Amino acid sequence: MIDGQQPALSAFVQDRLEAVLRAAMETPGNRPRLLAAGLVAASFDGAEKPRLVADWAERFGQIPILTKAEIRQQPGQFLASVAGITYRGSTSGSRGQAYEFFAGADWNQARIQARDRSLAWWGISPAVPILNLNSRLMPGRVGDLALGGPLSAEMLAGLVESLRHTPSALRGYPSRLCEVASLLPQELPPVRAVICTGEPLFDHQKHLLEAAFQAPVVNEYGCHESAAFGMTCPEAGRLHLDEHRCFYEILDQHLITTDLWNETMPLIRYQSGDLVQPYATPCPCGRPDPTVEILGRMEDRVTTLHGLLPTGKVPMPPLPGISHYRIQRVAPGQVLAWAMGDPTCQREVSPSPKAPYPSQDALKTWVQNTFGPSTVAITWAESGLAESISPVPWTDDQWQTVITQQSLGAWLQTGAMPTGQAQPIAALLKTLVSPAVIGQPLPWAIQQKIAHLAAAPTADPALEALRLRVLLLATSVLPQAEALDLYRQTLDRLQTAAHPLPAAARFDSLIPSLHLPSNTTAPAWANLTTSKQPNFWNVWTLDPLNAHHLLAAFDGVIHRQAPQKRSPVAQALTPLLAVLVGDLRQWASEFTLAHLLHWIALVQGKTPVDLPTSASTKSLDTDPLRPFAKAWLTWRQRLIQGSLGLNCDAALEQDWHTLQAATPADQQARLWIERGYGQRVQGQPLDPAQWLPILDTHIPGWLDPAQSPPAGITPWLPIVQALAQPLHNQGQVDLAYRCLQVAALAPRQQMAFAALTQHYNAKQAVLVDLLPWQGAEG
Amino acid sequence: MFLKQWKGAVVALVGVLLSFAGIKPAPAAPLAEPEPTLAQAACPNEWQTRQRYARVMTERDPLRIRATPNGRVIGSVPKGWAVVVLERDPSGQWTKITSHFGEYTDTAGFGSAPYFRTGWVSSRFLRDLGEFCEKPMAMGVAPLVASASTAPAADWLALGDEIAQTSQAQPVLTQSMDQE
Repeated sequence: MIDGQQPALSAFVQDRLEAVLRAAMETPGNRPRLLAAGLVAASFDGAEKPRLVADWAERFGQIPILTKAEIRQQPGQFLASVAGITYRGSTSGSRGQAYEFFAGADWNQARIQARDRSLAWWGISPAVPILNLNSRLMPGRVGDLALGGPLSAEMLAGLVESLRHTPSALRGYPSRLCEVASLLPQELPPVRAVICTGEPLFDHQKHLLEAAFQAPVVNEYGCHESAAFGMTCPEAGRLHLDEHRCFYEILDQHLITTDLWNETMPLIRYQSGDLVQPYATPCPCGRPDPTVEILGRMEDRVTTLHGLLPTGKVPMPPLPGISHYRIQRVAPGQVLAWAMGDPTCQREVSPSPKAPYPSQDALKTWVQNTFGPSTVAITWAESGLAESISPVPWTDDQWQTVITQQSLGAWLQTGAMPTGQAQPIAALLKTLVSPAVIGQPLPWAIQQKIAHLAAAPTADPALEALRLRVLLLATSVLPQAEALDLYRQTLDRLQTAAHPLPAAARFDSLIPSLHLPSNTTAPAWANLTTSKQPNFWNVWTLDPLNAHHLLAAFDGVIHRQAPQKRSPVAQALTPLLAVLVGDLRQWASEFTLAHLLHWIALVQGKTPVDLPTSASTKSLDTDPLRPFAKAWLTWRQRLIQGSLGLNCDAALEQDWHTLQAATPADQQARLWIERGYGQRVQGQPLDPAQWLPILDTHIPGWLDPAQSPPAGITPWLPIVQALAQPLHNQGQVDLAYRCLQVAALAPRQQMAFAALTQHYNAKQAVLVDLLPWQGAEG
Repeated sequence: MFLKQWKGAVVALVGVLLSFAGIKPAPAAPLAEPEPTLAQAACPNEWQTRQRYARVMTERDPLRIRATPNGRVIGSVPKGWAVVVLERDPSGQWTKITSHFGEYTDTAGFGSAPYFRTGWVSSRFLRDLGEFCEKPMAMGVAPLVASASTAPAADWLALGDEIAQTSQAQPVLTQSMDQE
């Protein structure tokens, strides 16, 4: 619908809108709005269930517009259901302004289909990888990649290497893609297309990207929470909005959307703040979807000589001698410009210090023509890669000491790399814990690094042990088949080493039991149990590499293992990653092999060796904490047995009492956590009236939506997640929303990538006007 | 969704006035542009400027600051500090630095860096951090998610290190596998 002219709704749109409105009717955020517009009929005495009126379609346009700010205040008021959630997303926005939204399987399916449909116009099938470049965008499909971090020679080499291996489409924010385009090597392998998203695309950027990558430039528009999605067509270059996901209205250039598939958190007539201009005529390409020009954000409009304009309406054409540029008006008659000289016009970008830049005239003319008379301060970007200032190099011994005795953070913060034989080992470890490239499956370039290190033993026994340990950690991220091969090869090297291996290395050989078949890892355990009686209850010291390997293995198994293939106890305890991480933090100071065996049983359903159930040693009897550890493990083992259908209720009750008796006074929180886990495994509902006070006591402030939940909440997440449904049933939608919001633990690789890219690869504003709008409409 | 840009006329004007008053640091790169070059555009807040930062990577405190490349010592900056890079000398061996407050602090310094001055330091003790609108925090410290109200921000790097430190702090019960 464009400014009140509503065409007849198709049967498909009618069906979907009706389904979404029925869901929306149940939510306190939407119901008053639907009532006000006369879409809902309900008896005054409440005897009759609210229902949609017969002529709801005619009244649809009277529903008040819903803004992002309204949702942000109380997003839970729009939560229609907490069951069947398969997708969790976050809106864009500055810190503190975003909100999470949730959706089900149908919504996600529609999302994938819309994307694939549009990509197919450009010949980008699911087999063609999309490489997200120099951005914070995560890989979206199997085989896709993301390459981030500082714009360096290493990044460009990674780009070239990846394109050489598999021709791909590139995707990113236009301003960031332009930064790469300005620095490309002469010989670049073929690029299928350059997909620009996340920022307005200006003419000079499109011109540069087409020329640099020798590929068509595609403009993609997406508003995550509203499901609005569109892509330009190859024939006419118009942006087509996908009508299978969204019902679109355009009111005074504002895009108003109603998601056709989100019955979990329905947003009806949602105004995201994006401005569009519809084309008056059908697209010559013949596709029936509506076509629009994306104009930019409502709040980003600029006052020009031609009036108040959305950024997308301000022409920013190619300028002679300039590769790309950005503009910021800071005060009346004061403009800051940032520009990168065109490297093909060396004469213009590297003059002698006293010579003027000829190309600055074009930029100044553009400013005068856009803003009127202004003083323009131009910052010229250097036309080469930022020269890296080398950190203080480390010796191999120095590096080895820090990563095994101090922390990986202490090493990575310095940026230092060892200069000797340890260099390739350190390079792979850095890639594994702080990756500049991510993807699922593991990107080819990283697999190559692993293969190279696997084939390069060192003569130094200490470094060789470290090499093998890093390779064992790499099995956590490799695809299963490659992980199996690498594990067998590495274990063989470990077991045939001429020198005695440190205990930490032998422990690393046991950790992959979490995610590899038990027959593969059995030799490592056999080696442990043959000559001497193993003591599974001895406390182990975890060095930093051990600890990171455990976390990588936890994360690896959770994100590789289909939930339906997990053991019954693991299926009951979601998010399982929170259970494992919480356990490890709980027992870090008295970690034993018995703990590792328990986690293997938890995720695999069986263990490579049997844990003696009546372990008893002198240390267990003498240390006050050890009975607690033993009682905890016995209780957990019983939980697993119970989840397998074994009739052990009486034994479970007995073990619970033993655990209660053995739990120290300062560990009562753990006791509650275990009680909650027990209830979930036994299929007992969790009563919010009982659990909310407990959570408030042990995790104070966790309900405050203005605060990030404290780190201590991690082991409570399965309990928090289980409370969402009963809270929603009771109509406590804000609390239910908060439970869903916090009950997730982000994947390790993605979080590491997000941490890296937030410094280097964020979106940028290309045209900014800091002046208040004067005499502006709206 | 497009980048959101806050508008605030008062703050903008204050920021601009401060810039013109010389309180903002000078731009990061050596510039031949004859026009006054104030800053690079496009930071999220109008009072910010994008600048190149580097971290001081000495083995021992502190790094000496000199008046000119290899010239007389005029101050020092502690190990680990993030400093603003202004320019490098033709040899590349010396880098001119200032603080994120610019030369304004040259008379007072900072509480933890009382001798911080704008001047030249040896390039080999600096690690490039890239361009930022704000002084960058140490790795692992910055929040990892856009909203303060999202799921727990799992800083896996800090988590692994914390677990190892907890484990390594355990008392005498520790036994190695070789002892079994």
